[in-house]
Amino acid sequence: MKVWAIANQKGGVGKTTTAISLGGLLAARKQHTLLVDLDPHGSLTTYLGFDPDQVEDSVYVLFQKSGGDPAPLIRSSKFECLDILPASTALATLDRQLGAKSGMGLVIFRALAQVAGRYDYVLIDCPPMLGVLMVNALAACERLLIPVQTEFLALKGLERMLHTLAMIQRSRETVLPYVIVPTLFDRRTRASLQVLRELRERYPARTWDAVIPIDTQFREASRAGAPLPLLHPATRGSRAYEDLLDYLLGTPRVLKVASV
Amino acid sequence: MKTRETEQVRTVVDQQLALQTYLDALLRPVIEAVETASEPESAPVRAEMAPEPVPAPPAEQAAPVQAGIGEQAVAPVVPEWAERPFQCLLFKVAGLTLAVPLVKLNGVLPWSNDITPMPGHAPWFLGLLRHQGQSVKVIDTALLVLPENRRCRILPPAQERLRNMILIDEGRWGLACESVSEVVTLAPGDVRWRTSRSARPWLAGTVIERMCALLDTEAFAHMLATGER
Repeated sequence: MKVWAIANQKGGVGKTTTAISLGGLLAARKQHTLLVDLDPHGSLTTYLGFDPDQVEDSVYVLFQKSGGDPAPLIRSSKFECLDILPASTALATLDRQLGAKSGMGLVIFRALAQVAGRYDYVLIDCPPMLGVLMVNALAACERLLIPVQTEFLALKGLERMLHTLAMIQRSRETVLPYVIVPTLFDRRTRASLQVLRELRERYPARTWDAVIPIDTQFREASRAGAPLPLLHPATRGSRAYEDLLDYLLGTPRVLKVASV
Repeated sequence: MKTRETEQVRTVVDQQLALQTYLDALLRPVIEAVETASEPESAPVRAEMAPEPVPAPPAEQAAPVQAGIGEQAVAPVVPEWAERPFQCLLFKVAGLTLAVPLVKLNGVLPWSNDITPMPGHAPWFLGLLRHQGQSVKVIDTALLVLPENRRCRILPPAQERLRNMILIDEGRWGLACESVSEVVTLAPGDVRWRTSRSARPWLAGTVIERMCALLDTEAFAHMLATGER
């Protein structure tokens, strides 16, 4: 079982879109995939047809019990091989409830260990702020994907994220590999081009060499409650995520680097 | 003016310290059973072959990592045998999966009732076993690697619970375990190598995919021989 977290301390950069798109693609490749929604907003949960305000059995239960078996909390989606451990709005209260309670950063790690035999991949969608949920995600994963919107404010958010990552690595005495994924790229804007160039200059070995473009079809897919690559595989956004997945799996198809 | 600048620097340092303290607290029992060292045993080991363990400092007093705030983490400590793909044997103690690299494995023995107990030793020291003309010091691995608050899971007595012994350090030590599962091949990238061995030096890293802890057998043997945890 491989565990990837998708995180950035800036909101609106495409974390949930990345989680659902990669999850959908993995499932389409017959890889049993679990999506874990750690964002109190529950966007990923909503995306797959569950209501984070109504769901009773959510990842919140794990934190209440300081661990336990997540299997009873996991819901099947309408897509084969794609399950979700849903979020509930109550997750927003965890930092207040738990503070810095010792060991609470490892709840998700321990929970996932109990379903390790059931899944090939776990993708964790993180909240856009540093707290017990993000720490859990970073402690549980073996790889971090950082979607970065190709606009100027995003660079600052990336710096903050990398700073957090460095501190967590220091606490855990481990190194967590990460990949920067340029998202919401609009080749018509100078800002997109400049920020992309800057990402590649500053983090050449860490930045994926292609981009996720702006694609209005993502919005349509979320309305339909389906991963875009499953709904419309031929769209630009779908193809970009397929390339990203191939890159992450180390099996690139014909390289289709965006001509930017 | 200078005082104001100093105050600002101090505030920034305080904030970063607060953040690191917060993260350290959340992650303190690092993988709980996997990465947390047990508290030192109160009962001393008297025999020469199993020296008295030196009490480990409590977690709060563990040597701090010295890298400055905001720096990238230091390079991980990767043993030489792991610089290319390597094979490991997985075994279980108290529900926890441990991995021992085959290049450092000297054998696997079935549990034996011929182990000679050595009275007056720490509970983790189970006794001596003669094997191929050599005395193997058999230890209850779970009691050494699990934190105290997890030892309640070690319910049955050793004779009922333990099924195998993993021989390391040229066969000098036998790590008693509940089961031996499989041999897996790992690439160096499959392991989250630790960047510091200031605490739990026997833990080389963790294999997230297998949810197991990778042993550094030499460090483990050194810990057993010297009590330095």
